[in-house]
Amino acid sequence: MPYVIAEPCIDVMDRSCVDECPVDCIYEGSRKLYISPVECIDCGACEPVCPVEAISQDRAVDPDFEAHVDDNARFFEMTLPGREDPLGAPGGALGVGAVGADTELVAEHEAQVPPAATAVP
Amino acid sequence: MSIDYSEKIPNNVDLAGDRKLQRALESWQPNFLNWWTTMGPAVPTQDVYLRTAVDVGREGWAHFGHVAMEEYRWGVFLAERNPDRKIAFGEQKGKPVWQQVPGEYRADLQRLIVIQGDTEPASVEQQRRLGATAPSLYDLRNLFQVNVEEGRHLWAMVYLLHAHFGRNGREEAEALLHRNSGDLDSPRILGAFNEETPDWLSFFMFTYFTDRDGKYQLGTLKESAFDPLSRTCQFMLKEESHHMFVGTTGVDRVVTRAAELMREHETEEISPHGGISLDVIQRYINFHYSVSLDLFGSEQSTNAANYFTAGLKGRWQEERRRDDHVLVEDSTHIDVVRDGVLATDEVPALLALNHDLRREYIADCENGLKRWNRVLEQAGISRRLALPSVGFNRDVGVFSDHHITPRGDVVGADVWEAKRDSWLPTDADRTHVRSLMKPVYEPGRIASWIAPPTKGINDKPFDYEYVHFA
Repeated sequence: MPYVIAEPCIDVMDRSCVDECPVDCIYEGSRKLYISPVECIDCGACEPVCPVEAISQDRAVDPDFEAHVDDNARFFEMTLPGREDPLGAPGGALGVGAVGADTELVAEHEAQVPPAATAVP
Repeated sequence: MSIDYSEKIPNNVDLAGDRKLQRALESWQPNFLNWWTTMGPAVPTQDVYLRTAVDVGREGWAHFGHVAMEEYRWGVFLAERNPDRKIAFGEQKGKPVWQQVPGEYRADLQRLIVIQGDTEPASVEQQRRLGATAPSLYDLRNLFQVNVEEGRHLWAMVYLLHAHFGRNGREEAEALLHRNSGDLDSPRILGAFNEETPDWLSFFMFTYFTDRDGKYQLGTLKESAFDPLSRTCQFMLKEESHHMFVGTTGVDRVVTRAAELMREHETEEISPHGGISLDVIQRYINFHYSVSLDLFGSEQSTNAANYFTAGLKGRWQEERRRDDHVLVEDSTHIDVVRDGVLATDEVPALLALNHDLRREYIADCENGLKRWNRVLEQAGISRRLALPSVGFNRDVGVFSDHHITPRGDVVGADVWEAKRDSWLPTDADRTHVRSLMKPVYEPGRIASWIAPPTKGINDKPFDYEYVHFA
């Protein structure tokens, strides 16, 4: 599996990575973004633009977030809540739009306050 | 700072504020354009649907439109400066990064920039004639996008040479236009950049394996304590992603078409049916992967250690690594040949930095093979493609004195010669591939040996007129 998005993206979803990806393989869940392991070409364009350093190569994921390696794949392989079929490899996120659902791991994650909001006194 | 397009040389480095530098680069510009005319794409075009950076930020780095290639706005674009950036590794770790070249590192930094800069025009030269045999307008456009961006990467390195290395730098900038790929008298510096790119399968392999080496080399220079080099490489990496996209999906499509023809004709021998067989694809992989591995240099290198200690060149993802970033106490294992078999040796980590980078690169390449094998699996074909052993067909490093099979067995010269044609592209392979290289210039049509892309560029359809000919 190539690049993955891990826990720091939850409730942040900055989407800078989406603008960078040359193959449009970053899909939008309800609370987090997910990289299609089948469509990612390992170019690495997404990694440096993430403001919360949520993106890394699968072999370099922070040990605390290792569950997200398989979880990125699960997003495409399982039938997500409210959908009839797994996403599979649709060939581009733009045509799919916001999926509006997450994997169990992400859906059950405690709500995080987005960084921008913490700066407000 | 946003990009100033009103200047002769578009830039976001306030060139207008340094008249001497501006004049020097403006005097280099006609030489570059002359090189582009004589050594750049040979197919005459009216305009091409290209991506041009109008800003290095999120909104502007990918601006699309039809552009006459000779009027492409090659310029100098550096990523935004981080005023708080500190050196992340080596003996000066934690100190502020340098905005000017320290005298003691001048020669080494210049050398690193010249070597990187030399690769950029080299690939344009290697790919000069490919446009004449493009399998589709979509592919032709992608080739030209790669070419103009390699040209811009040359500009990026030439800016650094002019701005920071004085007269020596200007002379080196001139020399970058005078060396030519494959020239017997004045070749490009690195071996892989003197190899031919005679056909589109070679082009896709090159943009997969050799441009991916570029990703890793630029990734180490991005870590440099010399901040202008770091910021230059950050923006180059953004553009380099497109080149890897071209390679990855290009090979995808060749494998996809091979699988279609194998199923249709129930044979692996698809050459008579206008396809490229998996045997040939495998031999091309073997060649381009092994040649690209040589670009990482010797497994043990005191130069690389010195560059790291000085802060000139870091490791891949330096700041995300969980060690002391100095490495004087650390050790690691490198590949060697011992008693006729592949083995490993423990060596100081500082000496094994080339090996460390190569290991990261190999992990990427393994993902590519998984991807192409997934295409075969989904087509119900049991045959699989594979990366050859790291020791196969090597001219640089510990394996260069040995003959090693793709499976990793050390063999004698006799076995190597006897089997060589089953491992590396043969004259017959190249002749067959070349015979398939017929131009397909009608919008929406594609050559027989490659599958169409799953989508077009920038949400345009595959049958969009990406290129208008002169």
